Amino acid sequence: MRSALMLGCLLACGPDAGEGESASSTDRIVSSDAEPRPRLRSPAEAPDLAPDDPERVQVELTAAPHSFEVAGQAVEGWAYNAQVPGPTLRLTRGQILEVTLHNALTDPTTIHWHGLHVPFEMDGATWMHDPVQPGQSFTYSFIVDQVGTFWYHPHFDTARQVDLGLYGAIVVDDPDEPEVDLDVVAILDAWAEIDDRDDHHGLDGTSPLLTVNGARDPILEAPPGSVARIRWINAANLAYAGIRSEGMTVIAGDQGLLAAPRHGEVLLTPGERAETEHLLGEAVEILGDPWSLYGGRTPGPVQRLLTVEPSEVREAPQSPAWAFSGLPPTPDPLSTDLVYVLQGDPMTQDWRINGERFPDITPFHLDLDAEAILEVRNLSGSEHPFHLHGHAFEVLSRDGVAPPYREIVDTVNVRLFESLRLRLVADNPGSWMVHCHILPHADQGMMTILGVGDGPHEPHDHRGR
Amino acid sequence: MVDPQGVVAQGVLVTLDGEPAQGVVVRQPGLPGTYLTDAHGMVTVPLDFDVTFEVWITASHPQARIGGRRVRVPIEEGLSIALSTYDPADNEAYDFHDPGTPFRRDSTDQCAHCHVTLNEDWHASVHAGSASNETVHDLYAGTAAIFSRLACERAGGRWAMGPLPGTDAQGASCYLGPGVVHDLDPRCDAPPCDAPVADPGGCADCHAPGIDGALGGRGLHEARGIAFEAGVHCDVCHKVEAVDLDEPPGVAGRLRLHRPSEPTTAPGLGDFLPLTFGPHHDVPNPRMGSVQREHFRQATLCAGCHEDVHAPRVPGVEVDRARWPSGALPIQTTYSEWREGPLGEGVPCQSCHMPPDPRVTNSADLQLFQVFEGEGSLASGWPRPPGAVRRHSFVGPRSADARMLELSAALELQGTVHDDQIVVQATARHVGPGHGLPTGEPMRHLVLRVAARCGERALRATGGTAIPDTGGALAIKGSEDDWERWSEAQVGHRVRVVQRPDHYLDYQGWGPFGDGTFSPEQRGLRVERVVGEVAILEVIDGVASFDGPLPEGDRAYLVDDEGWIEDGVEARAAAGGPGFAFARVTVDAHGNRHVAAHRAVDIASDNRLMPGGASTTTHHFALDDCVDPQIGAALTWRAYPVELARQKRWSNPERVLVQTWRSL
Repeated sequence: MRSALMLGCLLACGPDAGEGESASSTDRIVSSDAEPRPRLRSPAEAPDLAPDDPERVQVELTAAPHSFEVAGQAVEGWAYNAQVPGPTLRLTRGQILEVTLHNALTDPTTIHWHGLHVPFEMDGATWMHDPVQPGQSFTYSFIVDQVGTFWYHPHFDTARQVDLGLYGAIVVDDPDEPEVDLDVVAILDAWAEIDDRDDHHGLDGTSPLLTVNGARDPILEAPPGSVARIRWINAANLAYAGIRSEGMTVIAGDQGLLAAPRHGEVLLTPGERAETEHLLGEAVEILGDPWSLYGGRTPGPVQRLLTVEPSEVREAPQSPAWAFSGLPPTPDPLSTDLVYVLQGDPMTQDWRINGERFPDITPFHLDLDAEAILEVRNLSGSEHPFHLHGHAFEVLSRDGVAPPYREIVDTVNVRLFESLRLRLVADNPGSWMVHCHILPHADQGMMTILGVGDGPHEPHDHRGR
Repeated sequence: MVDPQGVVAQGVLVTLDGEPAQGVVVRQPGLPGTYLTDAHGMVTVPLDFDVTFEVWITASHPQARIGGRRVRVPIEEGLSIALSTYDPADNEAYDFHDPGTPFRRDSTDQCAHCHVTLNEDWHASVHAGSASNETVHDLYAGTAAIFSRLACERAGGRWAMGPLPGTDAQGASCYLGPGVVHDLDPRCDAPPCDAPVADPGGCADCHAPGIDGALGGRGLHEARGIAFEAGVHCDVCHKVEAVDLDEPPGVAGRLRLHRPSEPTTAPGLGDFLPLTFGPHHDVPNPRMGSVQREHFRQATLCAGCHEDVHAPRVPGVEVDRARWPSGALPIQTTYSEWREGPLGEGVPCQSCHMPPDPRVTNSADLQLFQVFEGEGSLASGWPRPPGAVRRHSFVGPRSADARMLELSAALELQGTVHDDQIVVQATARHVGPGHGLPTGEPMRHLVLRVAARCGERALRATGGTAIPDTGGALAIKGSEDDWERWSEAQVGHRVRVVQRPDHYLDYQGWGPFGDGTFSPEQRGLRVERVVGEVAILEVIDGVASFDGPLPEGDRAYLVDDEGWIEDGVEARAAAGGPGFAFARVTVDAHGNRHVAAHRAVDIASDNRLMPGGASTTTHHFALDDCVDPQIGAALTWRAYPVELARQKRWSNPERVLVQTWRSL
């Protein structure tokens, strides 16, 4: 039995054979040798404790130690309501989400609502607010005026607490969206044993294992001729997942439906979400390409993440009429308001933004409702998923090249030596965390604060993260 | 049944010259764990046989080549690894090995034969060209890139026979402008003056460190073969046994090279037992003769050359001791800038300039040789996690793909309109590197241009900070001179006039220019304000006529800059326009500014942007009834002063770091 677990760098760090830029049918594909293969289930939804109140979804979550199994191995971890991933919180746009967190851990904790535009005091970050102490409870309450797939996790001792199993999905439905036959949450996580004898220059993880809802290489059973909508969330601390499948269409990202569908593959970095559509005439395999956070696709085995298997072969169905906006990118005004430079090195695990290590940072400020252009530049030895709390932002360009369609996200990967230009409407007052969502990088300093609106944006003491 | 993951090698003995050795780093290569021998030379090593590569135990001691043993289950009792101290003496009889190239790697004697990816990176880097670089040779020999007698003599040069770099031959060259060989030789009346070279200036100690034989004090013209063609190459860097920062830069001092002495007749190993220093503890391959050194992961290795503080090299010249008490001038301080900056704690040079390489799993390119799948061995090395192998591309300002310059700076513009004036505040901000911007060779500088326009019409600058002479001038005249006579003038050139009030900028620069040692006057940046400019319409017998009346002021610059520039365009003289410049300004014994480093006897100013630093300047433009004005700025990087590059006929493209426009 493992005494502790760490989300390792899995696909990101797993060395293996192969070369070239993209995988092909000749790639070695690793799969589980477990028989029978596990069945994939969406994480159970949290019961609504106020079912008669159409304006509110009321949930209780208890964070507590929990013994569970990952890919057949016993784990002493932590969980919400004794399940990993935690209960899925499902609501409809416009409803109030009210979650009471009971802390049954021995450590303080919080819940951060990743991707949702919550009021600052509900954000779960501890830059200016206290965490929920052991034995205590706190009720988070806010209106959700967004649609899509989001997730929740602690924002205190974040890398460790998420690592131990504290995370879950949030699904916000849009009543106007077409219904599908199969709507599944698939949360990716990566697991590797802690090895404190590691001297591989700060790199870790040499035995890759990427799981979907805690299962390795599971089968998702589907009705024949069905349309499946898979809501992917990358909850790993480090692992990048290059997801691809024959006939797969990426229909949604961090903030709901894309402006236009994308076909074939999607890179999901820690913190990011994507929704994929699969038109199931026959079984399809969903593969994970090896991806290094040190610069892109890397030699290594392709991992079979999941097989979606209809009960019988039929003609593939038609895609529903998704309401893609088709909007082009907003024109770049070519002026810049804020520059974030990501710096650091995997040899020393010293990670910073603009030369500063959290919490010894100098917050930036924007006026409330200001429209600002942010530049995010990567001068470090690693890729980084750049995440901003309380807001979404538009990617105007990558290295000067605009995306083909409008791209609204809350987490975006910044490749080595890449420069991104982002458009932000700072419409949510608060002292918002800005950080790399490789959680060890954030814990080691790659985090800062963006103050929106009147301050103060700095606490009396730098109490933590 | 043995659990392949549960095997333990108990009581492994490691000896050094027959005696038990304490503190030896022992590991199973290909896996992360490391273990140290105890006072009796003993260590217990957990082993994992559930791997797809050969299982070995390796032992690494700082005074011995890494040793190892292949192990099998059951583990033999009394397993031992015997290490031998390598001969501590450097061997001048050793010939540096050929790094090979991507096009020449057939022999196992060439590093490129196995280290394919690293070699490709290095071959495309500036390190590979350090000894053959024509600009370096022009500065060393005093030559220029002029290749006909007539053109040379018209330019004021001397067409003469001299050594042809990298060869034993003599050939005709144009001797024009500064050159180490003749500038440092008091006997020299006319270059080349190379027989013998009086003082090679230390150039080769860094630029051609692989000259066989005695280390240090060698002339750049002594570089032949690999030493010339490969510059800073594999077998030089990986012969660095230690770095002593108290010594002068290069292989003569700071970089302590150790070339092997032990003769061998073993096939394929050369005349001497291989000895290679590197970052890893688990390379027991006798072909490498590896010894681990931590400095390969640290900035100190780079400091071996990228830090140069020395007394003036020009014979008979002393620095002003009141200004430079140590007698030394800070010519290049990249390492010090980094060490004292925010990244000096934990982000070494390698982080940016040798980024991780996800393409390879071992520096010996296991995947290319198709030995990784199911393998990994003494010969091929063992797999490392992606990113553990660093690119040897040494990316820098001239590596276009890496976009280092574009990532290094930011510009902020604030503009207001007062009556008929636009007032612009431009802030140039250092946002990226661990060192100053620019850094390294002091000829490098940044130019900030600020502009205003109304649609396509440029708005006239009327005041505010001017680009100093660092921005380049075809000629400079004081208030007592005749500003209508310019022997260098051509139609289209401009005369830019500035005021020079009698006070100095109070800026924060590097070292004494920023730590309070120097007063603003000692920091040497005289305030210059834009007055105005005129364009030259006609030149007759050296007398220019203009498109308007000559403004009055204290100084006039003759320039060919047009107020804006596109990326990659040859640098133009830009002094006197609205903007600023950032440089370490060298001065020679005659008071000339922006001189080659070997001529420097003083640093007049150093306002380069240091990490986290910023510079804000104010600029004025006439509104000229514009209802929708735009303001803009561009920050550019140049490798050489305009005047020197033009004299030497060097290509000197101006690189845009950042530019921005915004409406008011």
